[in-house]
Amino acid sequence: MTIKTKLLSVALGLAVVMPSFTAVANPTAGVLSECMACHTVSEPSEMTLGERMNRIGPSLYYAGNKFKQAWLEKWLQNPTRLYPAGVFFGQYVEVTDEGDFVFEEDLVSHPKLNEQQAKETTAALFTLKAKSGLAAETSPGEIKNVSRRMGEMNFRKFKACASCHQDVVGEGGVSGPELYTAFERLQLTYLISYMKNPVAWEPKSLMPNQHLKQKDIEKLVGYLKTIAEEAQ
Amino acid sequence: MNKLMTMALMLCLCPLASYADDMTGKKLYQTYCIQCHGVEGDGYGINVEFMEVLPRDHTDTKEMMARTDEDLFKVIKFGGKAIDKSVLMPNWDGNLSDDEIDSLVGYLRVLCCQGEE
Repeated sequence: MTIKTKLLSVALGLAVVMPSFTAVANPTAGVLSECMACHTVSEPSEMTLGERMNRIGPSLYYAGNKFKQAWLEKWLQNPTRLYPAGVFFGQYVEVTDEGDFVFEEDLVSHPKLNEQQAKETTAALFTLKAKSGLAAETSPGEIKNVSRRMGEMNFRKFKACASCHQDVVGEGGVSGPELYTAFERLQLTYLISYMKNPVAWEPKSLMPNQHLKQKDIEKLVGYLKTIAEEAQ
Repeated sequence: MNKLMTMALMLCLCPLASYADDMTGKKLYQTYCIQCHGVEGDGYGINVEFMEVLPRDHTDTKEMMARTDEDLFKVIKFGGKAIDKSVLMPNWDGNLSDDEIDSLVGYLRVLCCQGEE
């Protein structure tokens, strides 16, 4: 597919799927149906590879167990890109003689909500609590900061997280979400539980399960805490 | 002698022919592997810019033929360190079933040695 054709199909696709939040008369009643254009808000019985590859936004059916409420409300009013290559990178890759690149013009931006809409949307999203059992069985304990130097070495070299994630703006892989805001945006129980077993949350998760021990996970989360504080 | 060589060649190519019919392997590859190994399997995926070791070029016939199907299965399932290669290649045992890994191995053989239609 040429870039031109691709752009056209994305434009046509967006015309169909992108929600127009300004047009919502009653955000409380309508907001989750608007979200459904790009997100899954109810837990699917199963997910096929094809469905995973066509996803535009991340799953929201466990949003109430995933995000930090204050962060979400703020982010919805000023959304930034969390997945540098989109939720499924395969949709945005261009093959060139110099290697594969993300065709950034194709990436979909999240609609911006006003304060009232953000409040109501967040409240509605926090009623979505699938996977509560996973959250409940996770005991986070106290997370201590890990130094930038040791944490970075662990994150980048030993655990190879940087293959897919950025721990500093513009540094690291792009197929996974950026992680320099992870500690600020995600609940601790979710972070720990997801790192322990990603497919328990997302059946077609693209994050490998490294079978990390609780102590190893806490060290990585300690580094996420450090870099989130530095990023503020 | 010629007849013997033809038969030997046919025996070698038969498994490849069945791999080519298996679209599951290609779909799995496009979902899990292209981020590092590239859409065309040449090792130049979108994540490689900050990697210290370039991912394996799956289109390199000579290199790939030096690996058995068992090696390929093992490296996908248990990661690079299982065969003394880079830790940048993760273990996919938590995400993929053995059947899915078999399909991927089949698709790797198409990429490396058969070419796609």
